[in-house]
Amino acid sequence: MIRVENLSKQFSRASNSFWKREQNEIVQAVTNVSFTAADGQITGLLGANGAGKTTSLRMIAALLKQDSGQILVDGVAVHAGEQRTQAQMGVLSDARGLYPRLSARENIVYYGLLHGMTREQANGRVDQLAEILDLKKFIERRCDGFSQGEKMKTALARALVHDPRNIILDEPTNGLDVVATRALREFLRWLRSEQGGSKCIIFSTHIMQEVERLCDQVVVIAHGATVAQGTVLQLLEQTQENDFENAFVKLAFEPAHRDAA
Amino acid sequence: MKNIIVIARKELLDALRDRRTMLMVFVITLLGMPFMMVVLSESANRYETQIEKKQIWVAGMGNAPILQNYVERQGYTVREAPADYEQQLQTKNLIDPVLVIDPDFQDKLAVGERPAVYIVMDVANQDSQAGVRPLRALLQGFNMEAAGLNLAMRGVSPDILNVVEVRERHLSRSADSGAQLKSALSLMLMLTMVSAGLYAAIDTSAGERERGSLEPLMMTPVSSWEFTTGKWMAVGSLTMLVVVFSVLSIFPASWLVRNETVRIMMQFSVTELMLMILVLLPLGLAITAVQIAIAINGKSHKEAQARCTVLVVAAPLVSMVGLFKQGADPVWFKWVPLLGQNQLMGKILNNEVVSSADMLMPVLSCALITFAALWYVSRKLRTVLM
Repeated sequence: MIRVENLSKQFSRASNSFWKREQNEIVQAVTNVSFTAADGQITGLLGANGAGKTTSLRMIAALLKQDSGQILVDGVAVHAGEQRTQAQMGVLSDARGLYPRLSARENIVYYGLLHGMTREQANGRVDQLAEILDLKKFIERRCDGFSQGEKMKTALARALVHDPRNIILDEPTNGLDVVATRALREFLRWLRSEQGGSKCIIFSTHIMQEVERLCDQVVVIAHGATVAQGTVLQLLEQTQENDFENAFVKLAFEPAHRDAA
Repeated sequence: MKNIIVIARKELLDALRDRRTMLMVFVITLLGMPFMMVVLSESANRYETQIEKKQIWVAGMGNAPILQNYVERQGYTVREAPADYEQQLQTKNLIDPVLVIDPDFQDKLAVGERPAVYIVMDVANQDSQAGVRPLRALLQGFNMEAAGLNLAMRGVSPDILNVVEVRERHLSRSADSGAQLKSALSLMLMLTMVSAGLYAAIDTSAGERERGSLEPLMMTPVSSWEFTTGKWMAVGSLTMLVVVFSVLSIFPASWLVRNETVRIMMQFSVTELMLMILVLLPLGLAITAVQIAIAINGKSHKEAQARCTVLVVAAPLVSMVGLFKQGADPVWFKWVPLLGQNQLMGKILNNEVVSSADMLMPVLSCALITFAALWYVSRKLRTVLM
């Protein structure tokens, strides 16, 4: 379970001029994000570009230090730069770099080893993930020259190799075709189920259909703050809309609805 | 420790599959040392043959039969210089100086005047300069003989012209080419170290940032310190592998050496080679750490490469500081990486005894630099993402 309370983060963007001493520009990326992602649920973080989704996820992944607020992963506080909570997390961030000179298998196994698995365990897990994510065709091939979809699937397998209890996926369907997107959805549903281990899954996206079809709970983020949360039905009711896209636009961009929420 | 080995193993595998890294490694180890030795041996050879070939180029030898007679008695062959000798000297087609004799040489000599002869060479043509000295000595000999005969005919001992007897003993030539060879060898090994692991160092730091693979790495429960150490071990062992091969390539490279003097210089014992490797090892590891520390600030290969150029340029410059000092090396040389090692290499190459006390200071300074650089990298690995 992941609990996020009153998270805020600002960045200071350095002035362009080297010689002139200008004031650094302050960018408030996240002002007040709070939500709880329960085990056995898929929680969707929904927001427009630049709403603060990725920054929030990076803070949860202990890559960025929050200015204020608290993050608890399975009850343990997350501190940026510390590895305590990272063993229990599988993160697919927007940086999905693979090692081009290593095969897909070598890439994934490397992460398995870094998570403390033995080589046999890691290889066994790769075979399992290759089956589920349909990696078999290219698993032994070097990553150089992989298609967008192949890269994405490999990166996803890499994030999940250690079978983490909490899974954070930042726009995972980017670059995937319809068939692969469907397969991924099925896989996430399976991970959420008891057979799959009742994982706590946080899924950030700006694609409405994905949220509608997949998420048990939706957290709408706009201008760096949580503006609404609930199931898709609850949000539709709240905005008195039939179409989820309209509901999202109302929540994210119309202050009256935000306040009501 | 297990993590460090996992990281080092992966980085090494990655580097071994990298064409750029391997090209650098092979070019340096397989070609660098033999190439340098062949070039040095050939230049020593050329110098020696020029002195030993006993041949002079003359324009207008027919004007001075008496000089020709003297020259030939000294065992020299006289060759008529081509008509366009000035141009040929400039274009380096002619590599020996040319002696020019005026048409009135014999007449002037007969009436007791002093005819002038000219030694023509091009200052830019270094080979022609090397031939000036033997030619001058030959003419000096002729002068002495002619003057001696004149004096003897008047009943004066020719020895009156020589108040002091000057004799030359040539020690310098072999020692000179040896010294040149040794400093070149030392510099070559230093350059090898700076450039051998460069691509691997950049790939393991700035490369991770450029690919976007650093962020996922930092989300594993492995400390930055372990990552840094693993990466450093991989690149460091690659650098050291190159250094070991370079040092060992002295053996096969010496087969290519045709010059006797140089070949004798290159006869190192296994112990000496091992000692060289031992001296270079801490330096190689320190250079690797510094390379990674410089490269981690680059967001791309290109940027990191530009930053690391500073190191590639600085290394030979630091080594050259030793060339400008006068007399014995100052003590602080021992503390400066590259200079300290250069000094030790000089000792080994000169067959001097290297004590463990000599080794201590360079090793200590390298260890300090390595530690500082690794500490910096481990801090940076996470902060560059924030």
